[in-house]
Amino acid sequence: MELRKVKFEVLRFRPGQDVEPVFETYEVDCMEDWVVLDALNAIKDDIDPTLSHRWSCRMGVCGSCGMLVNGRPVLTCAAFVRNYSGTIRVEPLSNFPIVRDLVVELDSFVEKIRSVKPWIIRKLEKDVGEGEYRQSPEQLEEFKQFSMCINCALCYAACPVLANEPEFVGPAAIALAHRYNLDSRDEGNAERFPVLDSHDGVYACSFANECSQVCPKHVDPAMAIQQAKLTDFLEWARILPKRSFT
Amino acid sequence: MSAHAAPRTPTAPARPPSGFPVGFYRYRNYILFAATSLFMALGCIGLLEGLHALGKGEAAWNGFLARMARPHNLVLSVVVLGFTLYFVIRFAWVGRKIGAGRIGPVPRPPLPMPLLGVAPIGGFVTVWLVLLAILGGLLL
Amino acid sequence: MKLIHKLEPLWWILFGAGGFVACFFLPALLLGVLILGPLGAMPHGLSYDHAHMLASSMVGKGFLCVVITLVLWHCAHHLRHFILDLGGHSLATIAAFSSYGLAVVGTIATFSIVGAL
Repeated sequence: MELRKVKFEVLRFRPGQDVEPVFETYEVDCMEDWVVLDALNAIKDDIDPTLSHRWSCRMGVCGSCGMLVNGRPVLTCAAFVRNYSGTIRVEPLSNFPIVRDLVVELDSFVEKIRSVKPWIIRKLEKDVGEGEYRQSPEQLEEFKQFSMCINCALCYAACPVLANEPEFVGPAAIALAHRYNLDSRDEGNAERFPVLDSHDGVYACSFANECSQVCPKHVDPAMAIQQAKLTDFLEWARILPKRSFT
Repeated sequence: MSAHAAPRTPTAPARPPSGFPVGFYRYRNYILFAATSLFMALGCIGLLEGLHALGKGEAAWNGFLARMARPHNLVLSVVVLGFTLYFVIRFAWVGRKIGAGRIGPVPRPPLPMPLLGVAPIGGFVTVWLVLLAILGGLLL
Repeated sequence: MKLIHKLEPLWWILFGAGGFVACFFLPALLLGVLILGPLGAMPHGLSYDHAHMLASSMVGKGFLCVVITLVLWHCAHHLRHFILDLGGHSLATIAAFSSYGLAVVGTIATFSIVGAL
């Protein structure tokens, strides 16, 4: 297979060595079918072993390898080198502090996901002997799209609101909360309401829709947020009770 | 964190999204959408000015119409209308996203997604035509 | 500012309702009153007598008050977020108070002007 020399401009940040992030350029012999992640691994293996980056599955299901490629948040395992021309710029995800090189601190993201209680909440659990919770295909369809999130945080990197309001709960967390609020087995609306209804909740979103544009799993978090806004208003105004409808 | 956890290394500050606010076309469109609020407010001020003139009598009303007919005011009105129409298109998109799911006990309308976006625009245009007919003296 | 935050659902529904109303009525109002009327394309419809008859009727007054007020509140909320997007978190308080304050002024002005018809 033919190799092509491609220049990569990679943002480096080495605590204790770099005062602020700097770009370093690497020239990599890339195969035709390589993705950006392959090039980063080649840099680490053959050129500069000090480069740090996160990755795992290589096939777009784990969400580990999210980075900015030419300014756009992508999964680097799904970004083919052949689709880019000229020098390819690789940076860590925006809106997150940088730990080192292409590795960002995701503590706030994880905390926001946890805060919306992303699990089935029921007032009374059914006894195992009473059988399973039944759910029709139509009931599953109502929330299935929002359950496809792989927690890659690309949506957080793309969101312009987060740049100015880092406390914003964010697209993935709200989409996940909405997923559980729509689940026919769940009765936890009231438990998630304080987080969604807070100043940093659904109403901080201003519908830039960039989260949905970058989502690799077509979750459409912007859609979840807009639906959550109306649902939240109806619950806030006591037009709808704060519970799930089963 | 346990009492014996290693101290964290210093992090570099978070970087804002690349291309925001006007460097990337989708962010530019979003900023334009936000800017529609300024022009729509200006349009409302223009309408209020007209209503104020209407309340002061025929001479004031005709003076208002003559003032709005001046080229620079007409250009501004066209710009305001342009931004308002851009707003309508983008707002219909928001409405489509809200309408595409169950809200409380109200199920999603049984329409395919493309129609969910187009149908409201059809409704808007119908109302515009009716309102223009009323303003034109054809209906009332 | 705490009260502003507590009432976020209210600001949003005003934004939504105002946007909805703007979509239905604002383009035609702007086209008619600010463009076609001044150009003389609606000589009967926007003559003083007919325009005054439309605007001063109970339905006309109600329509104008509701439409203009809601659109102004919509614009206020949108403007608040616009300022935040461009200016940052440090402008949060001034953005909220100035935009909603202007909406209050606009509401009072609308009701006074329409009421005087």
